[in-house]
Amino acid sequence: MNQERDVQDEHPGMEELARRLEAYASARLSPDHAAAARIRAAVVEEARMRALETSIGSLPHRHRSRSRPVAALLLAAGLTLATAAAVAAGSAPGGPLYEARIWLEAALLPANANDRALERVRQIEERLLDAERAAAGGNPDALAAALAAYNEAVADALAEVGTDADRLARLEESLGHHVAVLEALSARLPDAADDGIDRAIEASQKAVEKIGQKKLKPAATDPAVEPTDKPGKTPEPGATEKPDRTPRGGPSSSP
Amino acid sequence: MRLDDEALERLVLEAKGGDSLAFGQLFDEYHEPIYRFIANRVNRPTDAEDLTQLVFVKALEALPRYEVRGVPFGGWLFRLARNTIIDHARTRHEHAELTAAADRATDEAGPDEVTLLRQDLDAVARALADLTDEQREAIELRFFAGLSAREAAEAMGKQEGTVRGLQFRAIASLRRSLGLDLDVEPMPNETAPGLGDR
Repeated sequence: MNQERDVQDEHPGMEELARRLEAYASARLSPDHAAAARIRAAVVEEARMRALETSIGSLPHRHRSRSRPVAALLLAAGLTLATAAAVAAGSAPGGPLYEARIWLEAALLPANANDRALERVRQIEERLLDAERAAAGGNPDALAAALAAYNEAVADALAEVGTDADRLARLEESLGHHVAVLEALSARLPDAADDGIDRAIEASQKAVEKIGQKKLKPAATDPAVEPTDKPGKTPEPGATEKPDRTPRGGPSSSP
Repeated sequence: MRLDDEALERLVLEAKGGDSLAFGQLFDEYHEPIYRFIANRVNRPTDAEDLTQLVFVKALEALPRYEVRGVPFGGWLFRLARNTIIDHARTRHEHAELTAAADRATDEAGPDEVTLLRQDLDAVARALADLTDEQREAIELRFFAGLSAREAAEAMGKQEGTVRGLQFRAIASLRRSLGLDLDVEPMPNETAPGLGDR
């Protein structure tokens, strides 16, 4: 760093002062891991909520221009589901309602292929946030549950993404970020958490590899995936991921 | 800082576009220097934690107005931190007590201190407390936060040359206080602090 060189030129032999200042800052001014994790979870959640609000606010008008009776019916149904979703959303990873929350999120996935793929990416990010919150709370069981749910969400998203270039790119980019976040999480947490995080990193990296392979495939050899308009539609041939897009048999503990 | 300018610029652009994970990576890059900067100015670790969080939430709000090609991101972020600390001090009707650093010396020791000489750390705290407010801030931004002179100048709202001068004089003072330099020659501007301020 030039600045460092400048200062050292002005004060030759000042390495000892720099060392003492760093020792002081490290010992008395640096946040502990738990504090850093708490702040991070709160800040990233705030960022995600703001992004969500922005994306909802920018929805095209055509999505809001249904006829009144249908809109009222949908609103009523939506409120019911939203209430249920809110209850489920309150359940923390590893808690009795966590599985129910994930099941409900899967049940509420949109039918349109692009919207659905976007929502799948959001769900993976939500699971990553769950993991960060669990880490911030110092709860290893919750962290393990969140990471397991993350791995499943990655597999589900990969199974549904098809071969559309935009959808593949979005998922690939998101997973690339996740690897960085998970690596940072691994560095912050005790070694005991490494196994679960390593598996999540591996799941993300393998998914990125598979996306790379999908990109290389000619579109003509992959006819079954465009468009994926309904939940439960058959995935592309050769896909090894779970073919069923609908919730699998319901949660073990109902909300 | 670990990120190069190009990677940092890309992350800032992605965060501006609403990418929460990119913002998370910016947090990873800057949270410790921001926390250190704040922790040296408030009395309680819980305040440092709350204010660090507040700085990043304010950054989220202000990010759409941040111009990547304008001021360095680090300087911009630390200016937010600086204003947040000032607001905090006003709200609490107290000064951001910089002598708190010296007081903290007698509080509980962190785990790192087990292997360090506690009196060395106390001596650093006292030497920092002897600096002027501006000199101390220049040292905090340079050494605790790792900012360049340009970034520190942006954070402090001063010209780069002024910040370099403050750093120079602060370093000389610290070395004298800590017995590291008994032959420091005075700078030409030693008797004219604040020249070149915006």
